[in-house]
Amino acid sequence: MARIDRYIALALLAFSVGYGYLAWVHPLLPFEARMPFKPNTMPLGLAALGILFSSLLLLMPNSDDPSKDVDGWRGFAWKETALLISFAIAYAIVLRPFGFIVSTTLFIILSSRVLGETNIIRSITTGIITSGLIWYLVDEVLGIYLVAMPAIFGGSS
Amino acid sequence: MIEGLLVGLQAAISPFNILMVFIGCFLGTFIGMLPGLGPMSIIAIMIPIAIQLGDPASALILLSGVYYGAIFGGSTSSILINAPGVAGTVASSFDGYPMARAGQAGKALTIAAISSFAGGTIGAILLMIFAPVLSTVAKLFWSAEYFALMVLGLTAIAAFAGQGKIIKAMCMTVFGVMLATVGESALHNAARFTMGIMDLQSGIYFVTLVMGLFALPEAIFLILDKKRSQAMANNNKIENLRITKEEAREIAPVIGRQSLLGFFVGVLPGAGATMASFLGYGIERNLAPSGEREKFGQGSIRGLAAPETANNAACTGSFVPMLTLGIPGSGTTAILLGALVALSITPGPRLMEDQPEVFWAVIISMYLGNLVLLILNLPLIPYIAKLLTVPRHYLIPFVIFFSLIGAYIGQNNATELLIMIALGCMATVLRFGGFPLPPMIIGFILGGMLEDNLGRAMRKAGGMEFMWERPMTLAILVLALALLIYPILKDRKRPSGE
Repeated sequence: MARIDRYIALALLAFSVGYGYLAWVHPLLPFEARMPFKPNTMPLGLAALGILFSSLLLLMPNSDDPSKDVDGWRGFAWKETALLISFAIAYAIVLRPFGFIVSTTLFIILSSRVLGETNIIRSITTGIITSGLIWYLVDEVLGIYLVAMPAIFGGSS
Repeated sequence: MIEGLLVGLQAAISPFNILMVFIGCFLGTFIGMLPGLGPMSIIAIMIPIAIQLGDPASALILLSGVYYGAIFGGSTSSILINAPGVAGTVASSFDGYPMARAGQAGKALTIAAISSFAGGTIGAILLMIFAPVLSTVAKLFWSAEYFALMVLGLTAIAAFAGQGKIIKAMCMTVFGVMLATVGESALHNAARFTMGIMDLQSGIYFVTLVMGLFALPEAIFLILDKKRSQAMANNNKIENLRITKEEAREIAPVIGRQSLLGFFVGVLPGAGATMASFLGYGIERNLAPSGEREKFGQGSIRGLAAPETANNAACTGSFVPMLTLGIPGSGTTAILLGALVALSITPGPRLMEDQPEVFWAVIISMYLGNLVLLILNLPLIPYIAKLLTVPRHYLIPFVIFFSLIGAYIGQNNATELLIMIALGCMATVLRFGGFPLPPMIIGFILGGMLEDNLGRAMRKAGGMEFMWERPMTLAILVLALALLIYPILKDRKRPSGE
């Protein structure tokens, strides 16, 4: 784990090479090709810098400590984390078709249950109150449109 | 200056704007106490709401209130449960937390509130004096100098990233600028690096990036590390808010010194509240009489007052480069800069002349914000701390939910949420590797302006000649290079294991 920064540096190097390639093959209009500053001028420079710094990270002896966040990482709750990230992805996907109130309520109920809430009534109540309040604040008070309910109940996406 | 102040007063002292200061401070304090949400995340959450207000002065007043409130809120969780939500309040926990454990939580919070008030207020006075001077100097700058200044800001940010992390910080800065090139640029109409995704045509939404880089990884770490998040469930006794006359006399010179130091450190791009608070703590420890010096780390009131004053004064100082040069002095002001751009305000030397009501309203709102914070927080201290007792199984879903919805309401686009989650997972991995994330967001915010100024300068000069033909540009670029190389060489000379 302590050397995860090397893997990240390698990924950043690969990213910089890919970014540089895309910048290199970026189609230029005839008049752009004759300009001193082209749409790919800065991206090419950035790619060079990205390759330089990530290579330095890979090549230089590493004197710094890895992040303190990694202390005890073996005891971390990976399963809960994966579940919550999955819920967040699902939330992003169903937010429009299910509507804000239904998807938010479901997200809070499921997340709180995974994280240890045992009282289902309390998690349902918290989910409904939170989603209702936030929807009212954002949609009604601030005027930012949020689809409240699924299309079959009159919501539109 | 007097005329400007009157303009600012007129704009700021409307009932609506005073209400905005109160709401901003209140929300900032409340949400800032949650370790998952530092000022950057809270301001990012509030930006769509601020933009909806329509009036730039009101929006900025609201966001300034949120900023100060969030800094104080962060100090509260730092003192009460030793869980600083942001790096800028870490130093406050060195002596604040031992005070709280010794049954002096109320006193510690009172000292924090008074020191924050003093630091912020003195900082606002200094801002009023120095901002116009810096603004006049800034008018001499052309796009070539602006480009050089952006490069200086980016390298200075990396230099302040911490020992041994310079290359990592530079990697993150470059990566942030790369992300800023996604989509159409101001100089070219053709979209770049969109991979055929239509939603990336106008680039990555900066709230999405901020949420992905800060709020979401914090939530992920709270889920991963149960011990850390469960520490938040511990409540603390908050009694005896008063400080004695002797204690007031003891901290008064500390507050005076650290207000000045904090402000000038805050003005430096990249230095910010974190560096000011650590520097302030170190200086006061060295200045303290030998008997008092041993108390540092055990619950010294000087040790608490110093970082609290310095970080608030630095927050105010970081507004100087943002308002006068358009360069953010910290990650938080980088987000504020994004908000300004979203509000069709162009920060820089013209701001004072073109929109004086905005410029001065922000300064006046700083006085008001600090005053309101003191009025709000002293009586509310025992109650607001109760927020920390929100159970972990609700706290974490709320942090994730607010991050997601913050990104969603800005663009009304579900793809933003998926991008944000991907960025959040990536940022978590980067944190595991010890990569500092603020340089990435600063690179992202400055990236667009960097390219615009580079493009204009190159078109004017017909190439890269402007870099050595204009003495001021050359001087700034040499300084930037020195700032970049010096810490790297210093790092390499340090014996391993030190």
